[in-house]
Amino acid sequence: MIKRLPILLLGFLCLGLISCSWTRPMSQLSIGAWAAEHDLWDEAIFRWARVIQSSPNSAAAHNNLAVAYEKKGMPAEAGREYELALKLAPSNTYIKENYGRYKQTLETKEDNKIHERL
Amino acid sequence: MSVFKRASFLTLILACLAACSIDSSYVRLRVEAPSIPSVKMSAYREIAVADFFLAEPPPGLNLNQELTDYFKTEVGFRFKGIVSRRSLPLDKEEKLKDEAFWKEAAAGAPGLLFLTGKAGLEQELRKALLDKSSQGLEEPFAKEKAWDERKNFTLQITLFLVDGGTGRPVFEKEYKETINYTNTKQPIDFALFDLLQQLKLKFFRSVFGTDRLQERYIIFR
Repeated sequence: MIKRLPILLLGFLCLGLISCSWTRPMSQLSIGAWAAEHDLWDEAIFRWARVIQSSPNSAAAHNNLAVAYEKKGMPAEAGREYELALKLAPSNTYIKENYGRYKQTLETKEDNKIHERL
Repeated sequence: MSVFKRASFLTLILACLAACSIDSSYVRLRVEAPSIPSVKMSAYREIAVADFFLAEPPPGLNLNQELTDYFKTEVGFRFKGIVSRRSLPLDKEEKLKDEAFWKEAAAGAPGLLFLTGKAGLEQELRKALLDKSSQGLEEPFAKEKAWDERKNFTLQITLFLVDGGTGRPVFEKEYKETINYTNTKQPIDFALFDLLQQLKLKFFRSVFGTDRLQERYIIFR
């Protein structure tokens, strides 16, 4: 049994590595993230919209799309996507964090508007 | 030796598994999100820089001329349409909100926005009795009182953007910019330029919007 221990451990290692690769496959979500990291926001929107088409309950895709809309200066669309993402994953800390920051920015803008507009 | 080899092998495996267990479910991005401007400038094709109402014109400076020249140049750099200068003397403050006056000035020109306002520039010499460290070697930590002077300039300005079609202001905001100089002989026109540079940042941020760097999470699960 002791002699077989290295083989067993090697097996566990292989399983671990396979499971690692499964957590972040080169999916549409990942390609979108890569595009966003390289400032290719139209491409990112295209990828994440495709994810939503195939799986409308993907909270990650809705969240990512919201970020992209924020970047593109489309706050209404961003708000809608954040709300959908939160509805699908209400306890996701990253979505909550993003939405909180988005709301904060929006409130500041509204405050400015109230003071500046007649 | 074999025990040592086995231990190092086990350590390697544990390290690999630990590396795999690190949460890689998100990417933190710094996003330059554009802020929404207060005025939809794309709805206008021309900005006409009109005169400013001055309650007390400062001595030694044509403030109206300086303001109109400055805004015509600076707005011209940011605005994609036409930026022109219109001579519309404002003898009364009430004219700033006189709809008929602005409508008449626009003469039915479509997409015309007037940039105007009221302004005042004040300067004063401020003196204060301050503690200064002694320069002498015998008592290096001794404090001595000395008069210090600063030249202070304050620009108080309310900027209006008036829609030529309706004659109503679409933007109105009061700004108060101050600046101090140790040079008590600082020329007023140089000080005005520094004050206008400060003002420009705030005014343009409101009217044209700016990009703000913000952090967001892109997630994978």
